[in-house]
Amino acid sequence: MPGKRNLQQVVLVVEDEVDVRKFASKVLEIEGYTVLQAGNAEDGLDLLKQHNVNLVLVDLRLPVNSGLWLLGEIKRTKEISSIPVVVLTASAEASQREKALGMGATDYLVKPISAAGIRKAVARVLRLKK
Amino acid sequence: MPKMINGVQKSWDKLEPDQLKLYAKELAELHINEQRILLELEEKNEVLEHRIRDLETLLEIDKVLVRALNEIELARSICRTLVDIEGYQLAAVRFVLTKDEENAQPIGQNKHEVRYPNSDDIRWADAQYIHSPTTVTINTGKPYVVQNILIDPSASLWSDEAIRNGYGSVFSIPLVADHKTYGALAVYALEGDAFDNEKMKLLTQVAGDLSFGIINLRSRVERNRLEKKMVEYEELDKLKTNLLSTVSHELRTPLATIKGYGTLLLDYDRRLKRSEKLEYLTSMVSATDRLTELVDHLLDMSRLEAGLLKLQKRPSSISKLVREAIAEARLRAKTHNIIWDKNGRLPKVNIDGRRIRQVLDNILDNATKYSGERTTVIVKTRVNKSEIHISTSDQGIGIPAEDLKRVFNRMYRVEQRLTAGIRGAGLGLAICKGLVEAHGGRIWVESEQGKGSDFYFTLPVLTINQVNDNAWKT
Repeated sequence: MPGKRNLQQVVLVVEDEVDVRKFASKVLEIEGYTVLQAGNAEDGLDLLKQHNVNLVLVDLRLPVNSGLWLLGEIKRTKEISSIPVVVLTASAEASQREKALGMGATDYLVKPISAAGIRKAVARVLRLKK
Repeated sequence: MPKMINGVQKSWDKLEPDQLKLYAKELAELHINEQRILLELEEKNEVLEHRIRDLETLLEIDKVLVRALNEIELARSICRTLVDIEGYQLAAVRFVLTKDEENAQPIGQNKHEVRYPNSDDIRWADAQYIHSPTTVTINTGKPYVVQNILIDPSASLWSDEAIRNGYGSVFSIPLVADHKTYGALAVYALEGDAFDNEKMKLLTQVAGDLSFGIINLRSRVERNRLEKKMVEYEELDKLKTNLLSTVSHELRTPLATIKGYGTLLLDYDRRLKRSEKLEYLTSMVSATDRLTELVDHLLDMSRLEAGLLKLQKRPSSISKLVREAIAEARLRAKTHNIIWDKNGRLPKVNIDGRRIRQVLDNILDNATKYSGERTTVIVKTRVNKSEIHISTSDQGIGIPAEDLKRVFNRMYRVEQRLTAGIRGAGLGLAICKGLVEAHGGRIWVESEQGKGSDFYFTLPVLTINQVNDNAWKT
């Protein structure tokens, strides 16, 4: 089992594109993380309040409220503000990247991304957190 | 009364007859002198009055220049001032006509209504004005004066009309901008020799003021036009940025599926179930379809915009196209109830069947995409003498009134709040519009937010001649 040691770590994937959400979740599950999934920012925030989440992987273009909105909510809410947020987006624009990092995102990943890309980014951020 | 003569004061009664004669002569001279001075004074007074009037005219024109909102109003006011204050019979402005210029009508003011009843305006388009003092001025670019219209041979081309109107003299001054004469101001007087140097100087100044005012107004109009253009360009620029980020997003999303599942399959082959692998592969194939469609749409759009899209038109059965499109839409949207409201036989149309099918597919897809499951979509076909009308009517989310005008713009999508989760690059309807218009048809939408949308398009019906023509060709 490659990722048994990760079992106690919980990753929340917020992504409205079903295939991308399934892919990222599957990679992280195989790596031994516990994965929570949400299709929009509001559901994501609810899950964050109900569970102890160690990392959030979030898309920027989401229905209703955006990923940046969720990022802002996380950083604004004391109880969850220290959870690292990794952005996964199809927007390669520098301005978006700067905005997200400026708002407190820990990393900014651009689609398309490989299984290894997701795996390494999540592991790196969680290692840094420790 | 004592009088000094040759330095000696004498009484009337003491004067010698000779002296008396001399005295009478002197008196007469004095009287003549007095008369002359009076006359001179009167003349000077008249000149002064003229000056004052001229000043009044210039002052009034200054006011007009400040107040006028457009050049027609400005020219009319100046003409009115010349007639009212300076007392000329007619003052008129005429612009050089260019094909695209609106000012086809000249502006004029005349003193008495007798000759031009119920009208302030003189129509220069009338044949009699083809030859006129303004024509001479506009052609030569120089002031033109005729002090006696009745006898001056240079006036012969246009003098008949002027004499009939009772004009004695005329002065016409060019209106100049950038060394180019773009019009003329003509002033007519009843009397001959009405234009001395002073008057010509005054009228030349008035023409200069008018010209200045017109150029000012035109540059104001030009500035407004440029400002509007700037706003348009800014909007276009925003749309272009939008287009780039939408295209980038729409390309990267299916690529993310392909790369994600592909590397998942490569890296974790042994950890995946067979059913999972099949699911991932199926999604990867769908993603490539989505990519292909997007690339096709982008190509269609740029071909349409460049006018390079070639239609392969031939007389085709629209009924068959509609029937097939509905059958396939039913397969794609299994829970929707798609009905064809057909009224009578549809004639053949000269179309590129593949392209019109693309339009039908697109508006049918939209109808089902933006409406709930188990709702009804009605496809209606009607025909009149010249056109076939095809429409789709759904019970979906509808389009907000402010978006109706722009749904056919490329990359335009209704606010995300309403279309959340529905895929699209915003190219479909723009392409439909391009394709329908390339067929000589029209496309439009009627919609109410929350109630549904009706999309309509028309195709011109083939005339019998066209049918025969095409039959002969093939």
